[in-house]
Amino acid sequence: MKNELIELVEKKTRGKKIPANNKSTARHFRIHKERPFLYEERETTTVLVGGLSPAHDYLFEATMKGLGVKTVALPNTNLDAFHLGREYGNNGYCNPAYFTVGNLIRYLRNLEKSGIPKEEIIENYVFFTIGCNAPCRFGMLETEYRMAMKDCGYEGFRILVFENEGGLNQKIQGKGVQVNPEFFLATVNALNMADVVSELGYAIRPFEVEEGKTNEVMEKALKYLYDKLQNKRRVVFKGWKDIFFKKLHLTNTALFLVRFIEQLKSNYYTDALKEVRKMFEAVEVDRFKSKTTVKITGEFWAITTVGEGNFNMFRFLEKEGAVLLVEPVASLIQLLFSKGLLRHENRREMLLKDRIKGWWQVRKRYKNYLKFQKKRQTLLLGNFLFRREYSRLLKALGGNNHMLIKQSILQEVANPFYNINIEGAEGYMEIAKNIYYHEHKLCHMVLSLKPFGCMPSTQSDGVQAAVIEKYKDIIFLPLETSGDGETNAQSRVLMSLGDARVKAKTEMATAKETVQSTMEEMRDYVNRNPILKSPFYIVPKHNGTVSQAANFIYHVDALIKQETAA
Amino acid sequence: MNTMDTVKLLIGIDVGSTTVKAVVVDHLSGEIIWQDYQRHETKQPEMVLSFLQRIESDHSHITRDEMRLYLTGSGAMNISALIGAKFVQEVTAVCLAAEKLYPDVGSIIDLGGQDSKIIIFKEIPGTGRKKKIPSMNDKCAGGTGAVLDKINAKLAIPSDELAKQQYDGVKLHSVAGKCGVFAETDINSLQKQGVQTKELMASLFEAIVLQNLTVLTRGHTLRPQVLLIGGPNNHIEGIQQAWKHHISLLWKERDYPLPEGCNPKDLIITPDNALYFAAIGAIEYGLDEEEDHGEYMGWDALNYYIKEGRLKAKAGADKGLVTSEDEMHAFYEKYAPENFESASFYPGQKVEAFIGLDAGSTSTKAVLISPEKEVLSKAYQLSRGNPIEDTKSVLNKLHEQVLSAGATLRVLGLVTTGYAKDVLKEVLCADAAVVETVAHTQSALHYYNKVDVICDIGGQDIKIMMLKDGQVKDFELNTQCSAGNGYFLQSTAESFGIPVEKYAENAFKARLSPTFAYGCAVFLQSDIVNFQRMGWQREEILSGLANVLPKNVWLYVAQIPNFAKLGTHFVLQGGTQNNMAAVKAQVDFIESRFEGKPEKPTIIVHKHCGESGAIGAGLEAIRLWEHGRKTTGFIGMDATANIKYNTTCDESTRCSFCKNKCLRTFIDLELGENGHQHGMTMNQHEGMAKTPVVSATNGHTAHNGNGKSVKTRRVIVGNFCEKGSVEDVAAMRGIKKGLDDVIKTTPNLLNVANKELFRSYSPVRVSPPKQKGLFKKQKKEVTDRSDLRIGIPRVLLMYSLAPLFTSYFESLGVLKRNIIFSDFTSEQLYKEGGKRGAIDPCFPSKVTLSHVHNLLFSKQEKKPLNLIFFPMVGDMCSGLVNTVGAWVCPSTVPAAETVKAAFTKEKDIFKSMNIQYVNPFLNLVEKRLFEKQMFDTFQPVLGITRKENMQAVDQAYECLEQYRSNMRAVARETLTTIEQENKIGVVLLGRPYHKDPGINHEIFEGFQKLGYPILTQDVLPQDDYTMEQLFGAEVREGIISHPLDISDVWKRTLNTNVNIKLWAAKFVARHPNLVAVELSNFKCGHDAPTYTVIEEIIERSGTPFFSLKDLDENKPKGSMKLRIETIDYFLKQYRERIFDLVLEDEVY
Repeated sequence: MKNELIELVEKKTRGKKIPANNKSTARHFRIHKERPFLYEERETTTVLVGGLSPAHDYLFEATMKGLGVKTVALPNTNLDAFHLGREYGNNGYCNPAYFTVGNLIRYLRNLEKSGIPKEEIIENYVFFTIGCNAPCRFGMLETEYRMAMKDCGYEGFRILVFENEGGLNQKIQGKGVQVNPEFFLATVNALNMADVVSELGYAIRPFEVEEGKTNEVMEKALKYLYDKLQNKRRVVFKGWKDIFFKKLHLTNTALFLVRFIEQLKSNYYTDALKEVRKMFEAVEVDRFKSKTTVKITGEFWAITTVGEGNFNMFRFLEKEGAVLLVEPVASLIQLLFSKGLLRHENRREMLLKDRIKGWWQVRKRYKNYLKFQKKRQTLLLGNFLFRREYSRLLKALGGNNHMLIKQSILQEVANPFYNINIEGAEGYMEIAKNIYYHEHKLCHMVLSLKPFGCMPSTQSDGVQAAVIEKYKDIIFLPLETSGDGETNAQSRVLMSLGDARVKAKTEMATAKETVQSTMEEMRDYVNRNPILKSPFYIVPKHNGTVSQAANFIYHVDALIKQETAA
Repeated sequence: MNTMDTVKLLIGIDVGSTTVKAVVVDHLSGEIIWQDYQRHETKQPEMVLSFLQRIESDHSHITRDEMRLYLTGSGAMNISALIGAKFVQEVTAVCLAAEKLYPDVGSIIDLGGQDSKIIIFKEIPGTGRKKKIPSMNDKCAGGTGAVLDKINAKLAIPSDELAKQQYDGVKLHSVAGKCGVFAETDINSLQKQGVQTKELMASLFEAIVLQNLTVLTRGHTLRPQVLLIGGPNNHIEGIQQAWKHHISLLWKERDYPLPEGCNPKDLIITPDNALYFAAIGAIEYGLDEEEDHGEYMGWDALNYYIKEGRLKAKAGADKGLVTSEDEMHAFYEKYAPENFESASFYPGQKVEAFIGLDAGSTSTKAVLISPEKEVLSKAYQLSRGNPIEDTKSVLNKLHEQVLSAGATLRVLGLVTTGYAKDVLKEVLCADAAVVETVAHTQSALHYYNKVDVICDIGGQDIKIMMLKDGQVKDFELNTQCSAGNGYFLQSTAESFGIPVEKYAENAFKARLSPTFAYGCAVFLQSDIVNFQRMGWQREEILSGLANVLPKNVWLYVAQIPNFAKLGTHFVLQGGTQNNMAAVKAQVDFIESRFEGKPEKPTIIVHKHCGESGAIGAGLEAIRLWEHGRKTTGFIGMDATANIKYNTTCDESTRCSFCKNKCLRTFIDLELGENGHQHGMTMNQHEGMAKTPVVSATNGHTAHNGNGKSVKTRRVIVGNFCEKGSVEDVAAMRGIKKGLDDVIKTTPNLLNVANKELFRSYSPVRVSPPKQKGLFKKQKKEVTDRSDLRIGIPRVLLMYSLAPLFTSYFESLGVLKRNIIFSDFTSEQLYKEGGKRGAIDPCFPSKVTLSHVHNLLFSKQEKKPLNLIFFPMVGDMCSGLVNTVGAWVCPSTVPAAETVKAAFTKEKDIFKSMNIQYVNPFLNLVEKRLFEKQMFDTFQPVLGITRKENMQAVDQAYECLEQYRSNMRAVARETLTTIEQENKIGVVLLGRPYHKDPGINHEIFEGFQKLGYPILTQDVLPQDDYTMEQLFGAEVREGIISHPLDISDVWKRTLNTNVNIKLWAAKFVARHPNLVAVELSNFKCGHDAPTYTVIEEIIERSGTPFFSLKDLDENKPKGSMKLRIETIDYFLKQYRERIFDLVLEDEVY
């Protein structure tokens, strides 16, 4: 049949040729073959990183340096970068891509202006960025980044993409950046430390007595952590150990084990954070300040970036009297674990029955079971250890920050509204967090930030309409960020913030009415007990009250009563 | 700091876009003791200062320390800081006031000058509080008071009459509410048709109300009581009536519970004191604030700002267009078009020439061109609203230039272009009507050797044509937005009392200019007002406005920030380029985009920039002459001067031959005694060309002005499709038959697919489970399946997977007739269901809501459905090799959840209609996983066994493959015919849902009617012969591993439809008979990253490539027609070129 068809077609098209000058293979479009970043080039090549918050980028730079890679974190992105990104990017990029590509172009142009020739820049710099194997367009932008580089005159500039779900099976060209267990552990530690320290800053800043003190200490703390990360001793085998493991071809395995055990047992990072804690002790806080607690959720980039990338939203909210509960990068890492586990669990039946033809294949069944459990348990253990490490850091810093919410809880909360199997961006997390933070009385309002046209996040907002209908008291505001329209966006936030403020004020008024002590008495008590001015003092929650000031009033009143009783 | 105890006065000031309102409240009593409002005539700071001074003087016994000040409104933020006031966000203030004064408030609709806001209050059980759900317009002026102001300024209705304009009982016409400028276009057009002012205004009210209800309610139902506030809502009766009408309707539609016996309209009220809501609310807010807010500092700083501060701010502003007189002269030297001098005619000379006529939206231009292609003379007429009259005028002017010299004119040919080209072709019996884009291109190419980009800015239209090898490869039109056109510059200059000819002269005087934010023209208007207020002079504003024009053209309308891709040779043309200030801004802008790049742009102002279109038309007339058309049908100059006609446009002229129901205009041309148009010869009359879209018929009778009966020839215009070009059914049938013949011989695989997809594949009925005594219940469930009626929305991936699901259900015993798909998308279907939408994703995702609405409220009514099945397909196979992912777009997957939310949030509509909504998440790549997912979903619903399910899934996969094979066979057959007949086939590069005629806006039908066979990307043939022909060499060279490998063009092969599209692009690039038209929707995040790659793949091979991006719910008829005609023109050229080459090959 096939031959007949071919014959027929050949007959019909006989004598016709594809015009040679029109459609020859030589002229067809091909993607650019990326030049690898080789291990030998490490000495001369600078790896540029960026795309998270300045604190995260800064500590990641230190970590990379600690691993022996010459690294520079790009300066924080801004509107100029966005416009450059728009100029050289395609129509229809998402915002994060415009800001990121533009920031890179801006940096390279500045290098050029400083006197480094273009050829040298192309030769001696690479950009290391995160990509994703997910349905979102962000995963596909690598080719576009290269085209943008070409269009702005840096053809051949290397872009290395690190897959966020790729694990150790990364296809990064060359070995300039070695994606191995050491790299993973170091990166996770750096990002976790940036998470916990940043979160602490957001928790303290609104209550600081001396304006600007938190930022001042934050700068010192980050510098301190930078040095610690950069100068961390790397585990290497020397002498007989080196020879021994090499002989057995076990160097990598042994190194992994030693590093892993070190990670679990060493206090290197926790000690560093204890030092940081001491630094922050210098910030005096006044917890009587009535603040509105705002939980930030949304798309990963929009909520981790700080500055013009998200309309300077964090600074604006703090200025408007809000305390922010920001989303840690660790939350996304946890999501990756849970998505992996979910996908694996979904295939349970398939995997267990894989190539089973009858009941008699007991051995095969057992093997399938073991194989299934091996991956499952690995993921569970990985998740457990990740949470353990994060928790250790939190405790070292004072335990005043929020622990990561278990993904299983979030999945349970979200599933009635949004199928948890849906992939793309933060998936079910936006829905789940909205409900969770409301149900657990953790915030007055949820602000969901997302780049304009973010596909999964927009659909998730469609479902939020049903969520806020069910949970009547939720104040939820989805906000699309784009390069322009900061004032308009901030105005929208003010609309909802006004409503949230009423909630906070009502709590405050109720607290003042309920307690027996006067404000003067309570202030006096706090002055007599300076520990209550410490940023690390943990105020117990009172009967579902969100407002920290209200909780503090209940607490101080209780302390006064205790004192009086004593 | 004083405590609140010592405060005596609380002052709330609302600084709005047109007025300032203030209230003063006695702190002790809480009474309002002073209030006033004044129009600020754009001088907000001055007015606030005046208010403060008056308040102080009227309360001279109270010191500033005893006052607290709260400012709200769009203009309040900057002023607050100068006087120590607390800034209160306007919505917050309005809500507080509404809750205080109207405790039963359920919703507020605040129609402001530049902002429209809707706030819905929802009770929070157990708290006594109400939650507010606010929503406001974004960067666009659509649906705001600004639109109303703009139209009102045009219609010049006195304010007392405006207030009395009615809506109830007034006839309505279609007016765009989305954009003020488009509304103006619609109003213009209706006005020309003689529609009365009261109907225009009522139609505008309708448009504004619907725009807000659709966009701002975000799917929520407005709750009673509804308060209408804001300027227009307060003052204009008609708009209040429009709100009442539509909100009542909505409550009825949604069965919203209202108090018994109450007239719904009574629940929509306009409060008497609504004017002061924001000011009162600001004070309310302040009362609840901490001690240290709003401490009045006096007005000294404000006074300083007015007198000096704001002027200082100017120092940091942009530079003017030129920095010196010398620079200006140098610029004029280089760019000013040379003065045109008409040819001198002499007595007795017999001038033989061609005429090019360009009937644009704001002006009509004509040129007389010699056979040697020299422009002999030009004529111009600013539009007076009637293209026939304008044409008579310009042709008369041309004629006069010849006659006045004592010469005579013989017109060898006349070709029309511009928006009225088809009408004029009919009326004048012109030789041809050439599409505008082509006329402009030919004109530019005639004068300049190398052209990469033509930027044509006319009065209303912006056209940017991107060329490659002398053919338009793509173009951008301002179909969605009018920001950036020349009319805006002109109207602004005129509002300053400066004729447009003097624009540049004035603008070049400025050495500084204010920086306008590019974007919506309606908001630019407001910016002008703001800048005037800040003390900028008119020259400076004109300069700033000229500066923003290129940004609007390139960045806002055309959205081309990356000039590197365009090329380096730019030709600027269109009437606006006569304004040298606009040219200077364009030149500066284009040059700035090349800064730091090795290549530099060459910018040329077309030597006949205003008449480039007319010249293009004239050149076409010459081309026709040179190609053997040695006679012209043109009725002649005298006949043109004597054209008499009558136009009719009302319900009687509406077409009823298709669902579009176009409102046509009949132009009855009076014929002379001999039955011919005045001045026409018999030959001319008989030789009148007919075009399918506009047609003329003889034999009508009408009454002329003297009441005498005269014979007429009727020209019909305004119809979108060919069927509307005639009046009687028989003639329409004739036209339809002609079209059907073309359609029959020109395959359109979109239509074939739409039939194949939704038909039954008669899958094998899977074996029912063995019936044993104990399983009676199961038996019943099995039997019941034949009665089960399943509704499936005809959306998204159903356009590639429908056979999979229908076959699954059929094999389980569900009858084919009981599997009900929603209708194809249509404007009506979208509108009926769209109002429930809470979000604004891409149109294909958004319209899913309307499809489920269609199932619920249309299909369900005919015969009840048992369940609605809307699967969420997470991944699916592309059939390609070497790919890394098979994801499906993340906007379309969760759409089923969003739809569920929309129909269950306020009330579970599925439950109330006894319908089960089933939306499982499915993975198609792993068949066994899919099997499990289907079993988990349908076991509880259909009572199936695992075995049944497994067999049904097998059947489903088989039938899907059968559909694909069938389609590929049809595609192969089509391709063979195309190859045999040396035709050009158009391949749709799009997503599955682009097969939906309501989403592709029937663009491909247009191509089919022109004789281009249509293929789709997902079923291109993959037989060995084709694969070998197209990819064999590359496989052997090792460039790719397999013909279905796309790793040579794309690394991140993560997404199935993207991968298929890329492969199809490679296919087209390698096949000589195929070209590609890419469709993509606005906000399509999956297509966006591939735009450049797709273009590169196709164009690198020399294949024409056209794309229509940013499609949404609006069907831009005019622009689509223009595109199809343009593409057709260049494809014809391409076909000639490509097959000439083939012939040459054969000869040698």
